[in-house]
Amino acid sequence: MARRIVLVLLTLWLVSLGVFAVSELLPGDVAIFILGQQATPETLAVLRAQLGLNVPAPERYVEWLFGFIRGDWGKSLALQVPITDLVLSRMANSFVLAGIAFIITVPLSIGAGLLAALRQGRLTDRLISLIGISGLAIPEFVSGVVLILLFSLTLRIAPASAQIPTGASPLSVLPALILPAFTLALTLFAYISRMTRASAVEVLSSDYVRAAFLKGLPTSKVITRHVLRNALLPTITVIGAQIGWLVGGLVVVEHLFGYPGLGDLLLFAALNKDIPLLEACVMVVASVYMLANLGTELLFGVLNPRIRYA
Amino acid sequence: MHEYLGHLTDDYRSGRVGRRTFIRWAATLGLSAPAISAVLASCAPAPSAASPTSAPAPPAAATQAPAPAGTAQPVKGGTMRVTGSPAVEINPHKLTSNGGIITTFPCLNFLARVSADGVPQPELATSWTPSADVKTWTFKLRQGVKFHDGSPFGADDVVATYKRLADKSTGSTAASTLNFLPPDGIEKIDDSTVAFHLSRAQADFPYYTYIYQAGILPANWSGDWATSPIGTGPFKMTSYTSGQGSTYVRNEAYWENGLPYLDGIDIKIWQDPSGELTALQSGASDMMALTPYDALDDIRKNPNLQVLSSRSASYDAMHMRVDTAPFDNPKVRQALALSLNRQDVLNIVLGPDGGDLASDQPVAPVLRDHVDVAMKNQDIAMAKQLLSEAGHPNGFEFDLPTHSGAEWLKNWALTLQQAFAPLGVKANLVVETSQVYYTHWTTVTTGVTEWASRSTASEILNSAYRTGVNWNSAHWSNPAFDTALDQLDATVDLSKRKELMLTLEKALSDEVPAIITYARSSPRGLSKRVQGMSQDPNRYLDLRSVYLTS
Amino acid sequence: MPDSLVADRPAQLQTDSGLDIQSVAERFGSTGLVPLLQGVRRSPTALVGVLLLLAWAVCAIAWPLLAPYDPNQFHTAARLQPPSAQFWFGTDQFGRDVFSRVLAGSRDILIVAPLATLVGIGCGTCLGLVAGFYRGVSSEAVLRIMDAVMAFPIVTLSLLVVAMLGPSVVNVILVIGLVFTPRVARVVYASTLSVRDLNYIAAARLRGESSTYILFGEILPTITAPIIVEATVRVGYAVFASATLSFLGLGIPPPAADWGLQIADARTFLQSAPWTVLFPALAIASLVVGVNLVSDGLQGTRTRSS
Repeated sequence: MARRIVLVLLTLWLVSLGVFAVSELLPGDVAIFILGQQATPETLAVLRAQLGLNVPAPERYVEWLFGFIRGDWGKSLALQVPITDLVLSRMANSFVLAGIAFIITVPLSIGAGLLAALRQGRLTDRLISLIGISGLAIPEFVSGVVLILLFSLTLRIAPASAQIPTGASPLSVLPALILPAFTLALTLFAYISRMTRASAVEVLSSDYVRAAFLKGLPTSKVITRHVLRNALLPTITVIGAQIGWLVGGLVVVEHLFGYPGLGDLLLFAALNKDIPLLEACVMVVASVYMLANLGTELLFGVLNPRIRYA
Repeated sequence: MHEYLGHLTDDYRSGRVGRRTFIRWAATLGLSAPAISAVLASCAPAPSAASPTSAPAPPAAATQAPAPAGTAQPVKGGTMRVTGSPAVEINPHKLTSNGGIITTFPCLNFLARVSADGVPQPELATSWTPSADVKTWTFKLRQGVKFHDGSPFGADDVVATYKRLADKSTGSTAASTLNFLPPDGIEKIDDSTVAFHLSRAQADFPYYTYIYQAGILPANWSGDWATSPIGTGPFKMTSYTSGQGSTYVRNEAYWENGLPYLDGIDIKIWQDPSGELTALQSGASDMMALTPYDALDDIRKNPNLQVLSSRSASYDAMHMRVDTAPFDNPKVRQALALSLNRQDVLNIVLGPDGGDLASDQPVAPVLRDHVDVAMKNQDIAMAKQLLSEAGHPNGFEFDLPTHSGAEWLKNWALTLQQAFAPLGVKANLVVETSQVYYTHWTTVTTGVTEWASRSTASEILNSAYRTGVNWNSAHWSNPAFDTALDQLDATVDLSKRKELMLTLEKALSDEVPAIITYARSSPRGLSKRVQGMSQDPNRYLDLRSVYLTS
Repeated sequence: MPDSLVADRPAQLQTDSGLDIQSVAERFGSTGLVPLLQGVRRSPTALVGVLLLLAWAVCAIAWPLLAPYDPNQFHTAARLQPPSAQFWFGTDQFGRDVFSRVLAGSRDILIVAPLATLVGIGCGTCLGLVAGFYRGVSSEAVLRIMDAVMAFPIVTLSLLVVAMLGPSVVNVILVIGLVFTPRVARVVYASTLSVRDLNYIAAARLRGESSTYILFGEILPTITAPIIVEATVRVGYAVFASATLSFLGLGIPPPAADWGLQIADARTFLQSAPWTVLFPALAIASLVVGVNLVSDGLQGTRTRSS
């Protein structure tokens, strides 16, 4: 247990090294970036000294790392606002969107997985599988665009843009979150439904379930009492793993729908070479991803008595 | 009164000078509005080839959008909702972006205001008089005007504001534009008179008082707009949140009687224009400060919306560094210029009504000083010949940076790329974000840049094409051009100015330091309930005469 | 695309959703190429996938012969035209033929994706072999670094590096390959672990054969089957990642007929000219679905009932 936490911290430290190193390699002068076309050699020198750019890299790294741990993530070059609040609020937005996607997809996928398991090998099973593959394989911007075309522009039942004036709560534009959440849900559907189907199949063929059927228990009772509980275990771990992906992998969906989340902020920072913002976003994304994975593995270990960690 | 005005009036009366030119030049030289109207009324000039068919109104109130039948009188009341793009800097003398301009403009007044027709009109100055050599300008200031904090407006405030603008050490973005004004050259004559002693003659000085940084602020202004948004303008800013927006209420003590009609303004900032569009289309906002060209068709189709468009001097330029291969040979630049079918380019990028064609020089037809130079037609054969003569018979390859901050700019770059292809010239587009592009746009070999509209040819030519100025991205240096520009700024005589303009425009068109295929129009999408909106080529935010219906 | 599906977890924690090395190795024996293909033949869905891939491969090679127009040619008089006899898929805002552009776009993606996969497989295999064979500190270090790289979803990491290095075909290939490396390394590591103690490998060690020979001459041939299956899965991700990078503006710059780029450019016309978006979208969808059907067929555990 402790070992795993140490490993996570170690990995995060390596990530921080990597991020800092890559930002150092960025071509372009940060000072010119800030002053823009109004820069003169004198003002540049003054600004460089202010930003502490004349200090050697290792020292700057340590200062940045400690600042990050303290919660002081600096100031965005492109937006000229403190990064900590910005990143945290964007992260909250991403969590809201991810949450809604989960609420949509989890019951749907579990149900579909169970259905596919019950109808093994038949048309329903193959159809569900095909939908799964499509959602899984097709990039989100493709499915998102088709959904916009269908539901927003043709049927006019959902807004095409999920933009909110910065500062307003994402919940204030709830209808606008339906399409992006649905796009995400499509991708998640495959994993969860597959997982559910596979473990449900396994459980359905186990002795005690067969015995339950032989005893005359109705299918619905068999499902709720035996299959669901056991099939859910691996499913929960898959769901947990998706949380980490969602926060960082949301880039495309947020960009497509104009949703101000963490993924979109990361893209913005990368395109604009806004180094402080980029470093902070990357660290946050990596941390969330790793913590989510760690949490999932721990949960799996707790729930599944067969596997324990030293 | 400037001695040339008599000459000008005679020229008008005898038909040598058109009505429109007369109005604009007379106003620049300080002839008062009533005097101009008197001249216009008192004579019927012979028709002159120089006057355009549409006659602008004499300097008076801002031009009104035609009121639809049924809405007669402006009504007081209502809050107008405007959407805009993000602004990082909102201190008026340091402005760089449209978001910042619209955040500050409603609270400010300028010494002079330039109408959409290009006529400088009195605002905080009631009149102005140049010296004979147009190196000294004396402005008489309006009495009885108060700042939003109640303090009276006077000469001290004008002196302090312009000192700030002209002083390089304050970080003002206007310093290079006003480089003919020394910071200690602003003199208070008395409480209602200020004299500007320029280091270089500038016949168009009144236009320069309307650059977007030149809003008049109190002498003791704190330096931070967010906490002390104090101007003399029609609206007072009541709140500001960086990245989100700002709110305004009517300035009840505003000096223009009866104005403004609106109770207030509500500006919301969007990172992406598509969100602004959605807001406009759904009725959640009344106006988009900057409207994309490809959205105009959709806006016109919406029964609740209208497009207000003015011809302007905005333009796009593909500059080519004349000191770097392969563009150091003028034949190469001229060849590329000849590869273009300019009407096609305009149609594709902006639509047929999107602007006026241009022949590689930036002085748009809508500007007072514009003279016609030969329009270049597509001539692939000649272009190929020029390229061979320059040593590139099979063309060449180069990187063409541009930025994604202006959505039509990429399309223009793509169109150029396509046009160069038959010559064997391969342009590789490099699309950067605007932040990144503007860190190196003046040092790259070539680039595609958008230019906002300015009110006078002098400002445009001085800002980008004089030897050695900051924004001369082509690093072009033509001493004859510089001399002619100096002379233009010092010349009051219209026929001489015309000759000089011809020289200047021809130099640019012949040597092609930058490819310029059109002057863009300035369209704005707005709700039909917005009435009284004036045309605004510079796309500031002048809402003083606006009123809302329904 | 969430990639925890395949080999993100340590070998002990292989669930059914992961690539089960043991069962694949058992099913396909030592080299397993022939049985692999047999597996594909037996599955009708995998066959559909192969047909789709073949169709696009033909397109990629022969599009100059198949396309009626030059994909970059402006037809200024016929801009934003709906599909017609003259322009089968309609035209975009510059008057370019969408059908020709869709055909031409197949080449870019069918070059980038396989090459990126090759880079990833190559680097990942070497790293995985070394880490699996030599246990100990260096192996642990390699694994930790791999974990650090894997701490990012594919798109995020690719986005970061390409945004900094600049968008170009070479950068996209290298970056996607780099992102794949740790994931491939994990699979190869796990496979190596499972076979390093087999009899004939131990015999080779006792004989004193050089490590290089053991790694590449004995172990590698044994584990080709899982590597090949992993490769086909990776190709699917590569197509996905490259199209996504193009869409985000980090792929091949305009006026390339890249499908992701076409969709990004045509977004503003989604309402007024949906064909400019729809056809490239269908192209991407059909290609990725095809690839995934094939790799699913190779894994052989999904679409059939177990």
